[in-house]
Amino acid sequence: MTENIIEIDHLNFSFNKYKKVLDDLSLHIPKGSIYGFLGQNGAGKSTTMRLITGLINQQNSSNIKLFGAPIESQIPYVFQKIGSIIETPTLYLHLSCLQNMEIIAQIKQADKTQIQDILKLVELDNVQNMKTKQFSLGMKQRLSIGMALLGNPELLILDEPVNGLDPQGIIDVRLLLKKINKEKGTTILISSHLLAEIEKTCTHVGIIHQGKVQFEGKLEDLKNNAQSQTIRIKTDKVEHHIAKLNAIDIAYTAFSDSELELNVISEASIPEVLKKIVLADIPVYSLIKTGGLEDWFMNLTQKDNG
Amino acid sequence: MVNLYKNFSKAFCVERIKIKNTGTLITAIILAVMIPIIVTGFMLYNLKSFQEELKTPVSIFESLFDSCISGTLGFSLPILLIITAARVVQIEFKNNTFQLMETQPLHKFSIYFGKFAVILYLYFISLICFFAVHALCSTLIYAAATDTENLTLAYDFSGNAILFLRIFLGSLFVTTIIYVFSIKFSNFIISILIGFALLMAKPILEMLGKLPKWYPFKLLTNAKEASDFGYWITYSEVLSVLASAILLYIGYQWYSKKSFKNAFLNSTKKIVTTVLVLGGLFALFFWVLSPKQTLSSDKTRIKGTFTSENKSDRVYLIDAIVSDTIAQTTVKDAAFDMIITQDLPLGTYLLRFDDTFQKEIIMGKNDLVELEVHIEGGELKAKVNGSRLAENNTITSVNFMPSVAFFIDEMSFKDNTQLLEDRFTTEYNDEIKNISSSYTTDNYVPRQDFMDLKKKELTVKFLNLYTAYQEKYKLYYPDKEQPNFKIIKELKEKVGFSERNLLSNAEYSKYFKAAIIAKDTSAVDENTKYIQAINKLPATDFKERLLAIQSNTMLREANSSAQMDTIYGVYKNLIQSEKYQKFLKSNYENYKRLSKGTSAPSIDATDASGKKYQLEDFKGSYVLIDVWATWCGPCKQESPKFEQYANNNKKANIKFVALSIDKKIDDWLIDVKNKKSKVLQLHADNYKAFTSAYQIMGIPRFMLIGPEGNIININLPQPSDANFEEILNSAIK
Repeated sequence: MTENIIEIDHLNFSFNKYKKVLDDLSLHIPKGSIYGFLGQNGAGKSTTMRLITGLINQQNSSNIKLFGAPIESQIPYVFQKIGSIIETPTLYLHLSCLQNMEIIAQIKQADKTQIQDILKLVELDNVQNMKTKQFSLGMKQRLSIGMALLGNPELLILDEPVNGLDPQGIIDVRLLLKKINKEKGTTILISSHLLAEIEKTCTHVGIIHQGKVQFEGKLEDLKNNAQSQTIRIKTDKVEHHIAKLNAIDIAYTAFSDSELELNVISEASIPEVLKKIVLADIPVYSLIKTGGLEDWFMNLTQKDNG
Repeated sequence: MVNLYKNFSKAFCVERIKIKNTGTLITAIILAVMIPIIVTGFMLYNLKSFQEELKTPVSIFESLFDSCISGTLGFSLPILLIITAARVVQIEFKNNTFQLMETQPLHKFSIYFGKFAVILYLYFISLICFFAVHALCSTLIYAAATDTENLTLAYDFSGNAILFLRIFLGSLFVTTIIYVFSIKFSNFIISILIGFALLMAKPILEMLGKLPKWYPFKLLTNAKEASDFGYWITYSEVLSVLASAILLYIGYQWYSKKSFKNAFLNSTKKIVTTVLVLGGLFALFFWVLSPKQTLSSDKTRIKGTFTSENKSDRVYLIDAIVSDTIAQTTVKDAAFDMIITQDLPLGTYLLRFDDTFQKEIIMGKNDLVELEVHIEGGELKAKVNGSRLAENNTITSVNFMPSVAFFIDEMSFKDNTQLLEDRFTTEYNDEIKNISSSYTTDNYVPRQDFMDLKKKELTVKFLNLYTAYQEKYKLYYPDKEQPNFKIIKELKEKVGFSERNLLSNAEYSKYFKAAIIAKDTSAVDENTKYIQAINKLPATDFKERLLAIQSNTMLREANSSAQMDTIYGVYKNLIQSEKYQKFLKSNYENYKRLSKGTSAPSIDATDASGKKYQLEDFKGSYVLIDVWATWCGPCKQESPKFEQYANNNKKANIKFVALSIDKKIDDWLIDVKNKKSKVLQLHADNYKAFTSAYQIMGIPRFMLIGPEGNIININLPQPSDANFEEILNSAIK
């Protein structure tokens, strides 16, 4: 059983007595995973990150453990093993890219050579003497990641690292993170509100909604858990085929005049269902998969809003 | 501990990187060296007159320093500190990088104190630059000087090192205030405003007399006052360090625990620690703040070192009133030491050197007075220390005119006695408080007996004012009941009628005399009443002293030689002790010698061109002499009136002479050169001979000599006095 690098048990937190921000929150981030922390804006992601990194003080912090021990006893020296970006990249704008790296390298006692290696990795080595004031958002993001990588941390805590990046930038960061995770075994905790991104990057997922954890576990498990796949078929007038559909015993809903939505158990059962439709003389003009994780996620978050 | 130090070093290193490209260091240096450079510019521009004004050799470093130090300590260094401290903290807030720092393996201690340390580091460099630029500029002025007769290149290394240390430590309080506020308030304008507000408030508070002793900007400026004991740091620097420790403790705990409650009130342990630490620091702070008093010694003793440009080997301790020599000793190897066996009451005495120079000292029984005396350039310089340190080094003067006196004189409140009473009471109480408020650079205050003495002097002054008021009131409203101030009863209880230490005080004499003859309602004159009253007193030194002082007053006010004879006769029989008999006799002889009609003693003088004069040269005309000196303020006020009178009486057979008794003839020459005068400007050749022959105790003095060379009036009223012209004219007829 792999140990959990971050463990949060039954954490309750509120800024004031009127609103609970985190409600009996429990998270377990396994070592070596890329853990996606998913939730809407305002769900409590940043607050959780701030609590993990000790940026917010709380009364009894025994519910948060890092590397197996409560955080209170380890701050600040535990940060030697951690690189983090909370909310926005924080850089010294009046200093150059290189000087910013030097500051963190000095603090983490990292080798000078590491600075150049990382700058190459995040592709900022050719602008290292430029003042960060002049950097684009993407460059600032990359520099922050670079700074977080100094000192070979065992754990990276990244709060919305692809925020504001263009599609290419997002891909670059995703590939970079996966590379680091694979090559160095670094555990990465990413928070985001973009399900698609999490799906493509992470090995584990934790979903938070209104301060409560709705799901936590491996990504595959999530996908499997996401009940009912649906397929949408474009046909001609739906009402002509109602009788036939009842006959072949397939659950359906009319999405529109000409579209049918059919529930299927899993992806594997789609060909069989299609065969039945075709043999029942129901014309099929197009077929798309809908629902799945995204739908499930939308349902989930709308459940309490609805 | 070691780990914390390593951690702190990392933070400090990193802070030094953060200040790059911000211009913080260069701004600080410019502010530090600004004033020396500007002042040097001025000095180079006015180099000629600067050179001329030098009378004795002075170090160019000292000279430039004296011109720069007040502006630097009071203005440019405070501004430097405010701006630097606020700026360094602002770097972090502006970039929102506190959260970056707090998610690094850096102790909050390292973050907080690393930043503070870098501010001190910048300040240290700026101060070094100040001293370096000062030294450079001084050498520049020296190199540019054309006449270096009175200019030396003597650099006081140890003195400047001590000053550096004192300025640095004294600045800590200011730095910490700005720093702690900057960390607390992310908007750096707030801390800059606080700093400037405190700086601007200082002169205002000073003017109102309400500036606290521990005011942060004051602790900085105190650095230029040297310690009486030659200490490297005074109470001022200690206060600064303690105050900083208190603020940094509070500031750091608050920062590291994020909220006030968490920092101090969260648990019993925290509360106890806070109370102990802060309590201890505050207790120490108040202990250092409380003024100290010197202890008395077991012997009455005066000792010290003595160097003089003249040959001299005797030191005399003289009674200030009767000019009696109490003790004397010889100077051996530039040092002297005299032990006084007689009982010395607390008061002002004179130490006489070289037969011409004297220094007033305050002392009493079992006091040790230590002095370093130098006589050069015709001037006496002395540094006084010992068991009456504060008394001799602070001004606890009661010699001022209370504003209430003016109101009484003008009877401004004759219709509203209550208002006058309130003002009287308030002013008295304020002045009593003021007496206890002066202290030396090492935080020493006069001893209780001295302060009591001063309070009595003040009380007597106010009692006399009250009597004057009552008399005036009687004149204005003969039928009305006399006003009665409630506070008078209290004042009367404070002052007795046998205060020997107050006899030298004119106010007390007046008070005493008025009180002692009050009961005598007989028809004789005041002075007779007074002698009779004194005679009734028991035979003590106090009585003798009273008789001596009164005899002197009577002799001085006598109008004729015959009158002086009578007075002498009377007092000769009354005074018992030999000491006071001697005093009486010598006064009598002096006054007689200078009484009207006697031949005026010879005067030797020189004019600005070097021509020699003697009093005899003016035989045939009246001679009206204005005795003055360049350092005498009141003289300078009377001289124009003297000149005006001379102008208006050109035809009269009067020779108008302004005779200077400046010990340093150069002072007089400079003054006279710049003056266009119609009267003859002379300088007395022999200060001692002249002042002693004519009994010049104070200036300005106006004397009238007749055409035969005889004294007409040895002490005319001043030209500004209404009687001057009348007396002069009647004398001349």
